[in-house]
Amino acid sequence: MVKGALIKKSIEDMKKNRSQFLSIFIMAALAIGMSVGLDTIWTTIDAHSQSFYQDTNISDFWVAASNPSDLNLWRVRNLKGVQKAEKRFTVNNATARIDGKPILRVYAVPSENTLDMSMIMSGKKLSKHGAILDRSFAQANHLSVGDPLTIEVNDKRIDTTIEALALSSENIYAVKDTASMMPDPKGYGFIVIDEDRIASAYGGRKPYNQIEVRLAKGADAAEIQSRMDSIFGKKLNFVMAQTDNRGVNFANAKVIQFRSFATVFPFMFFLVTALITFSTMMRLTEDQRNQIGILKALGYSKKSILWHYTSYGVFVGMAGILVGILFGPNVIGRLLLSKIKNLMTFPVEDMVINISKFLFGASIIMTFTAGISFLSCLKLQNEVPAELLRTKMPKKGRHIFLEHFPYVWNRMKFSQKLTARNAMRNKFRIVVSILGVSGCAGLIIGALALFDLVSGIPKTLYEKTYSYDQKVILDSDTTDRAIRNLNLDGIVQDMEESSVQLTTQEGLRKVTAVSVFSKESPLIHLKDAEGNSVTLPDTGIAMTRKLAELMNVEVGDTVNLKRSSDTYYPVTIMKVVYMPSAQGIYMTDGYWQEIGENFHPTALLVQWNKKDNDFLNSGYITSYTDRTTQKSDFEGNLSAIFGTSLLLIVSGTVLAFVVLYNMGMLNFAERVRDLATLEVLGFHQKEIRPLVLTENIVSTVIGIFLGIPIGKYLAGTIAGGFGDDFDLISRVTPDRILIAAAITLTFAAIVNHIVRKKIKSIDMLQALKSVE
Amino acid sequence: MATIVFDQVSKVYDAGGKKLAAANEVSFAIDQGEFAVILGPSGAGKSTILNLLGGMDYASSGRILIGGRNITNYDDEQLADYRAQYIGFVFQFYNLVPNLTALENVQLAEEICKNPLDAAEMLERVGLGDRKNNFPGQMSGGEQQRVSIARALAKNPQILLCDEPTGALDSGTGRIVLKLIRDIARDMGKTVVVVTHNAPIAEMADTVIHMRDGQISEIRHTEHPRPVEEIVW
Ligand SMILES: Nc1ncnc2c1ncn2[C@@H]1O[C@H](COP(=O)(O)OP(=O)(O)OP(=O)(O)O)[C@@H](O)[C@H]1O
Ligand SMILES: [Mg+2]
Repeated sequence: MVKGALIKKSIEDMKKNRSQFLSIFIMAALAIGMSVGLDTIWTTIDAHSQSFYQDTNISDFWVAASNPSDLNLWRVRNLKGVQKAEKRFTVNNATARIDGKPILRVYAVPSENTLDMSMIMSGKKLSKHGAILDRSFAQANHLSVGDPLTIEVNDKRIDTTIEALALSSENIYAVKDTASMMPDPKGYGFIVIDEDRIASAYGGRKPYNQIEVRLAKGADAAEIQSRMDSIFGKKLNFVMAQTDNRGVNFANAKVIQFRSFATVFPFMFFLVTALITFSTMMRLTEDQRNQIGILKALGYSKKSILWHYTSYGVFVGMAGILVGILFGPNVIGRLLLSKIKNLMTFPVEDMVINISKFLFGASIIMTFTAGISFLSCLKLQNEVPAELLRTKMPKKGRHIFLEHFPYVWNRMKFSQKLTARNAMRNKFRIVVSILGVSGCAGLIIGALALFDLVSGIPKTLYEKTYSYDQKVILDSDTTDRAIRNLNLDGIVQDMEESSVQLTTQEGLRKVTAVSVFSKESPLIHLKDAEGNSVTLPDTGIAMTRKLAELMNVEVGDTVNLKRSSDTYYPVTIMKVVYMPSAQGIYMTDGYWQEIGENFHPTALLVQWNKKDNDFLNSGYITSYTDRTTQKSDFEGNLSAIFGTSLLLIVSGTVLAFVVLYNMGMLNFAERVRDLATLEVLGFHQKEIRPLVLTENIVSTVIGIFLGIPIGKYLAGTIAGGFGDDFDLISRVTPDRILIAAAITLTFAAIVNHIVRKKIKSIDMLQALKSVE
Repeated sequence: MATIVFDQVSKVYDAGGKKLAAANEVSFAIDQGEFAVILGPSGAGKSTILNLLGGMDYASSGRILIGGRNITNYDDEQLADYRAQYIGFVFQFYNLVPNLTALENVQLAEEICKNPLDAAEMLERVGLGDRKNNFPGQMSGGEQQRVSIARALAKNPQILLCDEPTGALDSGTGRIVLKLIRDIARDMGKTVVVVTHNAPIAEMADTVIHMRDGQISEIRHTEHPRPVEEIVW
């Protein structure tokens, strides 16, 4: 009976304070949902990619070398720290002889190889004559196991039979070249054939051009990589680390980005949960001091009373956590993951929830909700029942600091004086409101900044930097001369895109993209971080800012550049350019030749006077993309981040509403008696409203101002958390601040409207019937 | 001239589906300057009558005439004006604004009335001239009730309404408070209506309205009400 009564009381209390308990619940659910939801994204990608790498035995680095000998391979294998080294052949420009002439990356592999295995999803292991085909490619082109497939490599035909469909951990983000941002499984994929089958295309001799290296645990990768020079000598092209693989890099970037989001954003939700629980429970127990006294007088033990009040927090917290853990991964996680998963191919589908982070978040929520409830009740436990039962002394009024300035004080209206004194008496609640509002405003500003960051990248690239209509990838046989003879009608810029290996004086090495074009560069407009135009130097190179930062070099420093030639060529960084995405180096065709390379254009940029469709369909080119397509592909590529920013804007808005509503209601509840008294005296509605509304408005405005630096901090942290490929400058523009302020103020206005109605509906007789 | 006229006034509450008439066709009149007491047991409907008279609630039916004007037709805003200009209210639990000093509480009257009396002077009259800058929390119940009387009178109202003004006070303090109400009202020529369930208090009234179950059981006029000092309770 005794227990039943308390439970009934809990239910009644919860009903009476439902909007506040609902707020705590929403906050807790959002806090858990956000943190686990955002975490699910990176933990899933991380877990899937890591297990995929393991299952397929991915290499730690690849050495690109022309015709490495068995002796070379043997020497690599015998290096200390090298666990395994294998050779294979790979080209990225084979064509499949089916509709649309899609491009295939070919791996020609000795049958005894164990590194970089493809993961067979259907069919059986590779025989000497068969082929393992990219499953996505097969599906997009309606090919299945048993079908014949002819590919063209080095202008020779190789006939194969598809024996298995598979996935490859080297190709989780399957884009064919640096100009592409979106996987196009119909137009590009990989194929694995036996080394013997490739020989026919290369005059009967088995070609090799790559050594796959797996390191032992704890081996010094940099040290081992640096030994490749002496082993391969002239044959060495470059060394590509696992993290330089585009798919690995892409997955890593997503992991880094979402780990950063999951760390930065949910903090606000946890903070607000704590603040709202605090203000709610403080008030509830204070309101119920009489009831606590009665319970004590009735003989309820201290423990059962403490548990009674703590249970409010426990139940609300648990309900929030439960809904959060269901909603976070299933809604936020699934929604955003689906956008990323279109871009990547993994063998498994299921989500991986970050249990430890969830438990951590859940325990924080429980500490806040249950702990705060417990403490707010404990405070009253030390008073004897008689003290609790005594009608509570009305809170003492107190003179405030402002009264020392009679000039100001005496000129204030009574409602202003009262508001000022109330505010000083309820400092805590005001601090909570201000913190809550600033958190929301900051979150919205941060989310808008994230949106701007992401939408700014394609804008900078495809509207400001590039001005071509189309980027055409030239066939490897197409010469510069042939292009010139075509006399295309429009502005034409040729360029060579390739990758080179850079080594700094300190021994840091990096494989990076290089773009070579003329100094005039009519269709690529390089800029510095401030947006000023940069022209390529006659000698030396221009390096992107982020790459310079990563390699710890600056203008005037010299790095050693190496491509196919056997020598490292010292080149000086003459200029630093800003690229939001895709880091690399730039130089003129003249300087490229000066350092011993041939200028062999791989791509043509064209701004048409009249589009030449004959050319676009000719054998001179392998593919082309519109700049507008590149831009929308890029946007698609970042769609998960767009989704995140929208989600954050929405949830920040919910947060703002909940905070403002709660604080408005709390303020109202504390003022009801004053309002009723004034109403009885004959004050009109419009005269008593400011008593509540002024405080709400002032704390909202202060909160918004404090939210600006919070938003800027969030934006800065996010901008830095995009990974090595991105160089983002966070800018919180005044219009973003205005939008955040407008959203917050709109909610403040709505809440004020609700409060206004509540003031109007005060039953002054009821309000004044007894002492509070 | 009868300043207060209740004409067949009813107030029906809807208490859990059942209709409950807290005032049932109540009629009476109180003259200008009279000291009236509404007497009756708990639940009789005394406060209901006083609240209707004070413009704090709407009657279900009937007319309430104050100086000839029917206030039952007033809307919220008009009632607020009516309360501000005509009525001074003193409650059992004082209802001072805790965050305003004694003086400021009394000064509230100045914010809304056309002809308010000087707040400091009113505090002097209730004997609290030296407690002007104290907050309610720093005063005893009797002192707070005196501030509340000063506030009601500072509005310079025609009618002073007191609902159990001594309910929360001991008899000595209650006597002081009642005497204060009586004397000041007489000096200033105010009409006073006091609600109480305390029969002896009725002996100081010009008119006593007895209530029971929402109805008036008896109205008694006295030519010579007893001075407060002589009343024992
Ligand atoms: N808001 C309300 N809703 C329903 N019934 C009410 C309400 N207010 C008063 N009543 C009922 O009206 C009747 C008269 O109430 P009222 O407050 O006028 O009594 P009273 O004579 O002032 O009693 P007391 O001396 O105890 O104050 C009571 O039965 C009460 O229950
Ligand atoms: Mg009453």
